[in-house]
Amino acid sequence: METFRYDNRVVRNFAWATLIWGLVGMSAGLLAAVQLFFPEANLDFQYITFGRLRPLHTNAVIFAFIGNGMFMGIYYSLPRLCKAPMFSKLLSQINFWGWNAIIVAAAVTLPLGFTTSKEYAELEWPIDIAITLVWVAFTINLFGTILTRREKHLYVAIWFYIATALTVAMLHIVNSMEVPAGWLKSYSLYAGVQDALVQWWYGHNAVAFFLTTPYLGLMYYFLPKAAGRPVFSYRLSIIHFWALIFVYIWAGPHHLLYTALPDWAQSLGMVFSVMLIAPSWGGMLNGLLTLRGAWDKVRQEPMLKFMVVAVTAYGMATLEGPTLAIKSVNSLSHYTDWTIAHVHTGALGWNGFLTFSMLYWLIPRLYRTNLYSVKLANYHFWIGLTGMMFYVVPMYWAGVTQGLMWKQFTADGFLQYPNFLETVLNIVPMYRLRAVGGSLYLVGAFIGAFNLWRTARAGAFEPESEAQAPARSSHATSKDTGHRWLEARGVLLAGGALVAVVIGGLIEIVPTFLIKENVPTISSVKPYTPLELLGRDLYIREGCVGCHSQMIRPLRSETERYGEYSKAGEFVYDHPFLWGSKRTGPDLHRVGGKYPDAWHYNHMENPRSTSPGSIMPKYPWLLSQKLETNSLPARIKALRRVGVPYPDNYEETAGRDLVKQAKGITQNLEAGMVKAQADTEIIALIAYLQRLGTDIKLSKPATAAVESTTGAVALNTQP
Amino acid sequence: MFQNILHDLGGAALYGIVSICLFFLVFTISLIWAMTRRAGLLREIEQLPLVDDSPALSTPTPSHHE
Repeated sequence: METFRYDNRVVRNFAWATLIWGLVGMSAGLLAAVQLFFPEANLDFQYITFGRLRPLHTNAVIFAFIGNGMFMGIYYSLPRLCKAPMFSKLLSQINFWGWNAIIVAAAVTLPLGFTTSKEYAELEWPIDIAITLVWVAFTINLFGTILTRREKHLYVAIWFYIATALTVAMLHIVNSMEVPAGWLKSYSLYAGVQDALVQWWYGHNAVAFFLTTPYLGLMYYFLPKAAGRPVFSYRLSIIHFWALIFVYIWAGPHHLLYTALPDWAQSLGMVFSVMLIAPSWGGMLNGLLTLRGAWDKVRQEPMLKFMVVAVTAYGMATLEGPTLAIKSVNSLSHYTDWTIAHVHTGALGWNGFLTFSMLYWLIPRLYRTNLYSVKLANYHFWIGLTGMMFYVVPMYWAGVTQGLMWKQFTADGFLQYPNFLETVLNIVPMYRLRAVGGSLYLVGAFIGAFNLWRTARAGAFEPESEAQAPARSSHATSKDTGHRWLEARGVLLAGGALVAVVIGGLIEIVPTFLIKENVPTISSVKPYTPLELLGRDLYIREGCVGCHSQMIRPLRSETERYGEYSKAGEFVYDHPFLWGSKRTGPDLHRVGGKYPDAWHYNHMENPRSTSPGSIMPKYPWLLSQKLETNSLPARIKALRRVGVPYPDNYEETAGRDLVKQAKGITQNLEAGMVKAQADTEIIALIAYLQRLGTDIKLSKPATAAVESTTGAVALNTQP
Repeated sequence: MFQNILHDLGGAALYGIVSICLFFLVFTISLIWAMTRRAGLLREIEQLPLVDDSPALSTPTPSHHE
C-alpha cells in the first residue's frame, strides 16, 4: 500500500472562481437583457453598450463560469479516479492562475472594443496564445496524472476529459489563425465563406467539447457518487462516448443552412445533427436511470435535484438542437430568439444547474462540514427553475412570433410587415419577461453563493486529503484484450478519440478549402477602400454583428425585404466574415445606398430620431471621437498578407485616398443639413455602411478601377 | 439554389457517402465492443467513483460509500 495526498486547494480555488465569475457573467447578461427593452440602460457609456456587453456575457458564462466549473470538477475527480495526485502542482497553479488571468484580460479588452468578432472566439491574438499555453499546461497535467495512476482502469469520465482536452486544442488553434495588425488587432487568415465554415465548425464543437463532453464526464462521476450507486449501464456509457464524439464533430454546418455553403454539406450537417439525438439521449437516460430506486434521495438532497434538472435540460436541449438543424425548421428559427431560448436551456439548465450541483456537493466536503442551509438550497433550486422557465418560454414565444412575422405575406403577395421595427416592437414585452426570468435565476445564484459562503465559514478547509492505494504495477498485461487493453492505455485511447474527431473535422474542413478554388470571383467585387476598412473595423469594435446579420438567405421573404440574396463571391475580401447569427435589428448586407449619408449620421446619433421605438443604442461618441488612422498602414499590410490584393506600397498613399473619400462624405452630409468633421469615426462607419452589398450592383465594369458608392475614391487593385 | 456557384466540388457526393459509412462502422464496432465486455469487469470499473476518500457527511447526506 502507498499513501499519498490529493490537493484540495486548486479545487477550492476553481470553486470560488466559478461562483464569482458566474455571478459576474449572469449580471452582465441581465444588463444586456435590460438594454433590449430599455436602451438607455447603457447610460450612453460606450463600454457597456449591448454590442460590447454581449461577448463579455457569453465569454464570462462559457469560459469563466462553466470553464472554472469544469476544471473544479476535473481536478477533484481525476486524481481520485486515478488514485494518484495530480501530475504537477505547478501545472495546476499555472492552469488556475493562467485561466483566470485570461478571463480578467477578456473582461478588460472586450468592453474596450478589442474583439475579433468571431463568436465565442472574440479574444484578440495575444490572449489566444495565452489560452493555448494554459490549455497545454492542463493537457500535460491531465495525461501526466493518467500515466502515473495507480488504478488500472480508466473510468468513462476520464475518456470524456481526454476528448475535451484534445479537441478543444484543435478547435482553438484552427479557428484562431489570424495575422496581427498591432498588439490588439488582427485579421482572420480565412475570408468570407471559408471563415464562416471554420468559425461554425469551431462554434458548434465548442458547444460539444467545452460545454458538453467535460460535463458529461462530470455527470458520470458526481451523479453515481451522490446517488450512492453505479451508473445505470456502463456498456451504454461506452457506446455513448464513441458515438457522441464521432457524430458531434460533423454537425457544424447546421449553423449555416441556406447560406452559400454547398448543399450536400448542409444536408450532411443536418443528417448528423438528427443522428445526434441517439447518443445524447443515451447519455441522458443513462444518467436519469442511475437514480432508479433512489428517488427518495432526490427529495432529501438538493444537489440531486439540481442534477436531475440539469440532465433533463440536457435531454431537452439535445432534442431541440437536431430539430433546429432541420432545414425547414431552421428557415424559421434562424436569426430569431428561438436560438437564444435553445442555448439558455443548455446554459442555465444543463451547465448552470450541474455546476451548482457540484458546488453543493463539493464545498461541504472540502470544508468538512454540512451545508449551512438545506432550506436555502431548495429556495435556490425553485427560484432558479422558475427563472429558467420565465427566461426560455418568452424567448420561444418571441422567436416563433417574429420568425412568422418576417415570413408573412399578404394575399397580394407583399410582405405583411415590411417594416422590420414593427416585428421588434411586437416582441418587446417578451424581452421584459425574459429579464424577469434572468433576474430570478440570478437571485437564486446569489442565494446559493451566500449559502456556500456560510458553509465554508462554518467549516475548516482541508488543504489535502490523504488516500491509500496499492502500488502501481504494469497496467496492461498480455492477458488483456479488446477495449480493456485500450482503456488501460490512456494514450492509445486518446489517440483513438483524436482520430475520431479529426476524421469528422477533416471531412468538414476539406470542402472549406476546396471552396476557395470554387468560389467564382465576381469581377466587380473589390477590396474595401482605406476609409471603409477603418469603418468596418469600427463596426467590429462596436459589436454590430451581435444584432445585425450580413447574409441574406435565398428565401423569398428575405429577398423581398432586403434585396438580392448574398453570394459567396461577395465575401472574398471579408477578413473576418460578418454574417452574424441573430437579427435583433435588420440584415445589413444590402444597406449600402439605401439611405442618404445624413440619415446614417442622425440614426447613429439617436436611432429613435429616425426610427421611433427602435431599441438600438445611441452612438454619440462616434460623432466626436477622432478616427485613428496611424495603424492604417499596418492594417493594409496585414490584410495583404492574408490575401487581399492591395497594390504594393499602397499603404503609403492610402491616407490620401482616405482623406479624399472622407471629404466627399462630409459634403454629402452638408447637403443633408448635417455639419460633421471629416476626421471623426462616424465618417468611416458611414463609408463602410454605404459600401455594403453594392459591389454586385455595379454593371460589368469596363475598367479595373471601380468607384466606391460614395464616388470619392477609385481604388485600382490590378497590379 | 447555389448549384450554379458551387456545382463542382470534386467528388462532393462521395464525402457524404464515406462519412455515413464511417459513422456506421464506428457505431457498430463500439456496440459490439461494449456488448462483448465481461460483466464482472464492467462491474469492477463502474464502482470506481464510489470507492474513494470523500468524507461522508451526516444529514442530509447519509453515507453511501461501500
